[in-house]
Amino acid sequence: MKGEEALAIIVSLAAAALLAVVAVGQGLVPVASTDLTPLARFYLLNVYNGSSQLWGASPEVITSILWDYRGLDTVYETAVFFLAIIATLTLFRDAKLLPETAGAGRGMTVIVKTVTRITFVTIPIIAASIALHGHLTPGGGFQGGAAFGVAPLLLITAFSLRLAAERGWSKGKLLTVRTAGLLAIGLIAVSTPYVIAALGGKAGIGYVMQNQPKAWADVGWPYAITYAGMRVLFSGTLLFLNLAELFAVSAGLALVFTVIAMPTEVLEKGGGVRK
Amino acid sequence: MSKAGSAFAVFLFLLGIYLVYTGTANPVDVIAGGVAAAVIAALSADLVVRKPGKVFDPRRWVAFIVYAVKYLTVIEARAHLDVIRRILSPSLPVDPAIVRVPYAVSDDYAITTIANSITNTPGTVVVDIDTERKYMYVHWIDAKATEDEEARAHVSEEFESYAKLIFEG
Repeated sequence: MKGEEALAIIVSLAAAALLAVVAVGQGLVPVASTDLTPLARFYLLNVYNGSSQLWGASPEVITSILWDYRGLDTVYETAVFFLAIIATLTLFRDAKLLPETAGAGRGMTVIVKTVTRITFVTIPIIAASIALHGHLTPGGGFQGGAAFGVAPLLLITAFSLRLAAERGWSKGKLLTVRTAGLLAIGLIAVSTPYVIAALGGKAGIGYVMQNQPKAWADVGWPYAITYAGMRVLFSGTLLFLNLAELFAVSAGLALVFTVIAMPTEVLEKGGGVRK
Repeated sequence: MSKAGSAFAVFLFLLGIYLVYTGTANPVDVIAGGVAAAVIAALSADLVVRKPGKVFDPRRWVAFIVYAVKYLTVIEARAHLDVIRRILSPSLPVDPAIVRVPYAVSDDYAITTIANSITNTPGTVVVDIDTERKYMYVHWIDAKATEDEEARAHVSEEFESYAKLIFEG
């Protein structure tokens, strides 16, 4: 038996060593090509290049594409997302979130609940970080909002919808936050000439979703402030759009999760559907 | 007062997480993270902390650090080596059983600490918990004892003594 054990250990260690050699030596997967496409070259050369007329004032290429170069596209995507949420709500337009109709409220075991208490507050702070740094590092408003959406989902699953109802969640409150976020995006989209005028610059004609000045539309948001010798880059509209999108997406997802977690009879009654 | 204390404890915890996750500590991030942490703490701190006096008790923190270091090094290594030895042995020396392990703490965090400590060491998994009669049901790869108190001595006694020091009361 001892000999067999020793053999098993030797074979296992040899397999592990072989795997390590393969993984470190040549890799198990092909690496992406280092040749850039012309489009990638354009974005990388212009996005954070202050001397370029086509810069986005942000080192984060993806966020610049989403909210600046193709900003209108993102506004429409956001609109589509919110139409889907509105459609969901229309189906259950009269379903009310009340503690007495939100289930028994037993939830899962004390272990799951206790861990969920902690994650329920830490997920939103991570979401805030993802959104507030969206113009500097990978992330942004939608990503932050999607991360945030896990928090209400966890609370509803671990504790049941009843706790959410007892803590004062309501469709009205969530709808208000969501609508405020959406409204802010709309206002920022057309704001550029007015912001310049308000800051004492010369008025001009700007485009919808314009972030930085262009040769043919010479208005743009300020992109950084210097205070007490410290320069803070906020990339013009990008930070504010990310923040607005964070609130809109967070509240929108929380709203949908809340509605679809309601007991069937509440939904049937609220939807006005006869059995 | 206890409500404000809870909110302050959660605020500090969240601000710390924000700064670590963000990876910077310049004044702008402290302000931005502080605002976000304050909003979340004001809305939800009562879910997380009920007795803020316990959060600011240094003796509990000393016990927590001692336990964290001991658990993540000695206890984990011991459990891993034991299971590795069982896996690599051709005779497969396992004797699996689900045993009933009693516990004597009442704080939710203490119970969770014991349960997660058991589950996170290889070889034992908490499969269910009965909070009314205070039993955990533990799947054990090599059940050395099936009687309640004997099983507790093997599986959770050390975890429970630390969990009591850190969270109970």
